[in-house]
Amino acid sequence: MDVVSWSVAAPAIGSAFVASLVEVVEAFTIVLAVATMRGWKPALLGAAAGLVVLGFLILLLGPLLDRVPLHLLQLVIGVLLLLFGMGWLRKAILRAAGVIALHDEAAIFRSEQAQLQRAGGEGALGWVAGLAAFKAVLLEGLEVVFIVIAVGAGRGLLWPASLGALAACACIAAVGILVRKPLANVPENTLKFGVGIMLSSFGVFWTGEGLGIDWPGQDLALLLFVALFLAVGLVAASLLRQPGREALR
Amino acid sequence: MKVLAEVARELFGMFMADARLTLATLLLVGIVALLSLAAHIAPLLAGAILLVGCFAILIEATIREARRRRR
Repeated sequence: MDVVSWSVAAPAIGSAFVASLVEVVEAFTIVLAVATMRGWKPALLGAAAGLVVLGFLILLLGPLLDRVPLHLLQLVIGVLLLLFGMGWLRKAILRAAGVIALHDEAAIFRSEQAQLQRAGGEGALGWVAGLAAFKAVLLEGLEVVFIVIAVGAGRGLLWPASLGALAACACIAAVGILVRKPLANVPENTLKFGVGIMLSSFGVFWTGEGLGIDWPGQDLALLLFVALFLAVGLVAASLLRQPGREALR
Repeated sequence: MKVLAEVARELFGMFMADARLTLATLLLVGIVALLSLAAHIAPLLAGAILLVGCFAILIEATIREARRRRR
């Protein structure tokens, strides 16, 4: 691992940590629902299988990143980050303004339990439950992998970004094991608001770098982008908010 | 196969939650690329267009969705 300065690595670790936190909470909620309904064995087996498939994908695709020209990689990942980040920020603004409902982990937990209750006969239930955990870990894990690549690739920050994502997994696993309840109290929309801002800012920065723009102040320009996206997001949410609607949580 | 289809749908959904926002963003990047690489405008101006364009797209997308849902 190349030695990178803390000031460069910290935003990558922080962004990957917070963004991954949201995805890991979602995966954990479903794994927990499976465990509650059908026991820990199918839940853990399904989750482990999902992690193995993810590991293979990372091993397969990871080395390819080094072969792509830096500017092209920055441009492609910058654009993907912009699309991903602005999509999150748009939803977070609409949720903060009360236009769409807040994401409710407790509701997801209940819905997953109901689906498992409806599915198949007794013999099929272990399979179905394991598959549900597998899908949750694979789908949310893929999003985490994308976040790590998006935040870390092209700047030599894959390791710090991976560290942030792993810290998020460890954090949620530890909290989850302790409380053994859906993590409904995580202020998800606030996290998504922050993550949308970070990803959009990285997206503008890298898309610009990919197009040959030398931002004034180099990496420090990111702080300005974060501040501007935050201001735009807060103003938009406040303009769209109607009296009596639920506020940013 | 069903799982693969779901994975593909999920990945697609990550970037295409709002098709107009996605298309507008891609169009903006295309315009900035043209201005920057073909018309050779000042890099900082290209950067400013990219940044302000993103804000405009974001605001338009949220206002449009809010209006649609409140109708």
